[in-house]
Amino acid sequence: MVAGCTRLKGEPGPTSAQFPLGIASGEASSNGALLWTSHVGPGAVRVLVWKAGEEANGPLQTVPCQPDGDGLVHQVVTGLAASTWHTYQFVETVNGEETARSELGRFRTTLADDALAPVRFGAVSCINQRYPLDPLLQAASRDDLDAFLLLGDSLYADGSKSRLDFSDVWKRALGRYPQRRLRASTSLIPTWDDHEVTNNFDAKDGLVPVGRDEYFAFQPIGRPVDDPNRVWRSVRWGKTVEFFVLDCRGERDVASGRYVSDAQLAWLEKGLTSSTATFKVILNSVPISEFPGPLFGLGKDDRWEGFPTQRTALLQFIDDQKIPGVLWISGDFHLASAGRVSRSGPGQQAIEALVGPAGQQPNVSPTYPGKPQFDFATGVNNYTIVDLDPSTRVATLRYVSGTGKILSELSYDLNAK
Amino acid sequence: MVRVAVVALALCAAQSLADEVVAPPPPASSVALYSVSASLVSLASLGVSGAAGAAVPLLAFDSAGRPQPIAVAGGFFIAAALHFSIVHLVVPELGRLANVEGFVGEPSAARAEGWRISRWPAFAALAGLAVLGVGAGVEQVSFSSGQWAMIAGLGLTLVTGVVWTVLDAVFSWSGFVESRKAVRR
Repeated sequence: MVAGCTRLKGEPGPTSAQFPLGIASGEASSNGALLWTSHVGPGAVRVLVWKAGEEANGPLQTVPCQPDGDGLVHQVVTGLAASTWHTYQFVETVNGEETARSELGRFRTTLADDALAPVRFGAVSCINQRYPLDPLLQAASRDDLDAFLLLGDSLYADGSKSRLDFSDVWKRALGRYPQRRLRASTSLIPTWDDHEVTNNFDAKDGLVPVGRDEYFAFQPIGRPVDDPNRVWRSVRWGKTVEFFVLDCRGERDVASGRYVSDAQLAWLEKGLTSSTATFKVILNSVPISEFPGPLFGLGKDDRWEGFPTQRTALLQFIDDQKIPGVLWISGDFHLASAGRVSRSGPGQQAIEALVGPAGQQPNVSPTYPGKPQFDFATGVNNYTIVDLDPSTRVATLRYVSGTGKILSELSYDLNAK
Repeated sequence: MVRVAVVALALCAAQSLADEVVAPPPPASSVALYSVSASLVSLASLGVSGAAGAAVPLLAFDSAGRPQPIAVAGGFFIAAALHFSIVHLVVPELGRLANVEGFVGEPSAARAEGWRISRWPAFAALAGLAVLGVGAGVEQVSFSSGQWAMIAGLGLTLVTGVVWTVLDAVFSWSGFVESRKAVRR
């Protein structure tokens, strides 16, 4: 067993010691993706990419990789066909001789820029590396999730004080079998939340830069050239959906009442209005919904509700512009729910789905969000399947437990009203 | 015959005099032992009752994994009833630790005195449970409509429950000590 990895009793170890954390893909585009692995050893590394189902015809591409000083590989491959499932595998060679292979991964290139077709993706949050992670295994067993959204708290790095600490926790988290299975099964669209650094961190905390560095290092994403610290970005799947990935933690300025930076907010508003995608899915690690009542009011300062000026302005903007197809997807709460963002006023027509937890204690509140504002809530560890049908502009949410049981299925018409 | 009667009367008189002897305060060691054991019993009761009560809402998650506020209130009711029963039945019996130096008390007297003083906090706790139950019932129907009542009821129950526990233990001891009578060896 590779140092730093954690396995619960009975969980299979990595396919090879040279690739102890498995593989992952992200930043899928219509002609490629970013392929990730962690390599241990002196050999050279390359990645082979096949068209799925046609592996016998040989790889479409063989790309030499250059691991960084810690053995982490972020390899962009391009030149692939749009809307096509691909398989990939990292290979280690020593003196030209093959010495190890990673497990086989798969990803789907996004729809062509002008294509309009239904897409299906999965989503979770709150993946504590010390807990059973059955929902991840359930999700990984599917072969029809075009991509997978990680809404933050993808590990619990609390207590880390140095780069080595953070790196060690990431290795323990990603070394878990369910994580390796999920990350190999489809491409990821991640964002971060507080536990990638520490509980409810202050953006000015000295640990944030190193926590952010390790987040970029261990997720299959690249750092923006123009601003290497920028977490927020968008990912487009043809004309069906555009994902707006927010950074709800790293740019907070409590003193000035800013939940996100002015630049991020302007980018989001501009993106929502200019996007030609039928659906605009906003990845929002901490919920924007109003949670009335004193029990959920306790954590108000930690979410959009604690920053009412920006929250109201953004929701009012979406309402005023009559932007259709907006779906908020969030995490953080240790419960899953689906319902309307506000009881009244701005956001009362907007829909937010809280996803996860995938591996956590359920939220301890004796009462969960319910009617009339919310249609469903559960504390069971689960993952969510989201179907987006551009022909009807209906989003269907299915919440699936770790045993595969459908906890709820809900559909929302996201045409602007 | 007359002599026998006189002796018998004398013996009865002596016994009567002995019954009227005022019991001295129990030794400090008995007081300390009672304090410790009553505290331990009360804390253990809180633990056992809390665990039993917590099991109810945990078992009552609906099939989709949603907690039921009414089950939470039911859990608190069970916990409170269990705690009341344990403390009210067991703690007065610990007064027997004062049965020293030829004097014996009555647990029933201890129980009666404990209840006499502590009954108002007990009634307040019951009222708190009622408020909690009503709040949970309302919350069950409509999210966020009964949360303040639940919190108020829970707070009242917890505060008055602690007060009841302390008063019951303290005055059970007083009742027991006061009930002690001398016994012939």
